[in-house]
Amino acid sequence: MVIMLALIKRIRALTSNTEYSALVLSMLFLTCSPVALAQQAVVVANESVDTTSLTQSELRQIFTGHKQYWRDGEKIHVVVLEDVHTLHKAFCRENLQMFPYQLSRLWDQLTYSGQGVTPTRVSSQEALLKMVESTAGAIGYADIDKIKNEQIIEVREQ
Amino acid sequence: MNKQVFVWFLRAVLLAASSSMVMAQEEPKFSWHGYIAQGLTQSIDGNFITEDNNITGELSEVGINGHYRLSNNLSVAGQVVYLDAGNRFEKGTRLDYLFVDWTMPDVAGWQAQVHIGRFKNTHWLYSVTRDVPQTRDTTVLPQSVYFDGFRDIALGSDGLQAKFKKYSTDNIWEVNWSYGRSPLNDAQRDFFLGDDAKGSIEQDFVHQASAFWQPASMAWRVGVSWLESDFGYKAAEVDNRLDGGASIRRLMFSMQYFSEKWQLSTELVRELQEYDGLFAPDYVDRLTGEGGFVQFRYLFNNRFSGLIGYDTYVNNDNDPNGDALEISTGGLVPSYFGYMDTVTVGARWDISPRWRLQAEHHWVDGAARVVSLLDPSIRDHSQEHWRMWSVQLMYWF
Repeated sequence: MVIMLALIKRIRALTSNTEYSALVLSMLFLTCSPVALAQQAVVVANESVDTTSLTQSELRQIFTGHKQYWRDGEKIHVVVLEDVHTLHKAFCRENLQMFPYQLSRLWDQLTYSGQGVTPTRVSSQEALLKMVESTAGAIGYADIDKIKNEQIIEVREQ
Repeated sequence: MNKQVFVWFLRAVLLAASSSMVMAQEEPKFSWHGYIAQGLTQSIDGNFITEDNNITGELSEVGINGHYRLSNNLSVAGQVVYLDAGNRFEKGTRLDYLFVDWTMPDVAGWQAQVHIGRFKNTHWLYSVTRDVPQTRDTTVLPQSVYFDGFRDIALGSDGLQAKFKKYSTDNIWEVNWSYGRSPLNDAQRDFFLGDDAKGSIEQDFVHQASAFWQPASMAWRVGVSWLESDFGYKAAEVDNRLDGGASIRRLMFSMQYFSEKWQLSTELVRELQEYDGLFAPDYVDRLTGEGGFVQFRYLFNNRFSGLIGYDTYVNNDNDPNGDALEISTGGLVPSYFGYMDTVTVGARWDISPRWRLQAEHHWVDGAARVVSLLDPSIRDHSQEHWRMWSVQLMYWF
């Protein structure tokens, strides 16, 4: 997955033509792993975020509300889909190794005890990407084929 | 806390919310959330919630909170709640928390946060959001650990709290420490010393520490906590009690496990209580209570889940059946006030992402947590076997 993300970033850097880029990406993924793609979420961030990669531990800290600022001091704004959304379930399971209800429980504990701010929840990937695009410091996730101009964050094991 | 404080807090929240809306594309400095829950409840053959086996709507919980970010490492957070739970604790509006949150620079990979002000107890599994209905597995929490009679002093303190966390590839370590005190109301004084007490009771201090371990997936959470607290009583001019004090030392073990289809929570408590004066000039008493609970929740699907639980507590580990208690009081206090065992069955329906309906039924054997052992009419407050139930609809935002 890490190698594939690096390839995606490289291709995106080489071309500013979105349609061409999407076509190349689709071909690449169709060739590599068409089955895995359906449930695989890619982490995206607003263009103001200067971080291009995160460890799994850092990703988990961000999405559980325990890391609230980027390295440059900018506030992190987490955007997620509702618990029942298939992609949210896949993201929790594959990227966070958690279950959606576990995550909701953690956020409620932070939000209603004054220890943090709950993420913004949206009901569709389109709304999520729009929110990430328009909010400084935002981070979210989406199916690779839904991504247009958002910055992709590479997630590495360590 | 009175209505004016609640209105003041609400105005502050709404004012800050409106001022934060002018910032369009950046993370707002201010955020606010809340919840409202209303239910029906009844206790049968015991006065724990209602008297005369009445069904009541006295199961209301309302809360509104605000979080304002002053800078990258400093924020202020506060929450006001209104609670009505029948006889379980005093009805009214309370300042739940109001503290300054200071995030300190990381040291050797440890993240540190300091809370100054009125903060929540973060040392037990449910203590940090005990009043937030959608965060609890049951409306009435297991009384061995979350005893409603001492709810206000167990919930939080005025003082200082420090939290330390370390994330590694495989583990998460969390260490919490707090020192403070809580004001005690008359209801808590009466539970402690009986209705005859007319003087003033104060908590001198409460000192708590806890440590938790989790694997990186957070599937497990295992920890231990320690509490130490002293109380002082100053008798009124006309009073059936004398000046004196009490101290409590509590050791707890906590564990949670989360799986895709089920979750398990358990806590064990051992509590040493010491009394000095209060009832006679040279009165000294020392006893150890112990107990714990286990709760199992099964998630049938995204919307429906069921729960079964068992909770047990004895006031005095040397007298688990309460026989010595009955003999020492000349039969005034029946033996079943020395222990309390509860079997719970519950169901939950998540109607939509912010709406939930939760129902539960408890079958109880014993009455150790129903009423103060010093109540002169204690026998009238509960039979040996009694039960309670509740249905609560909740909404949060």
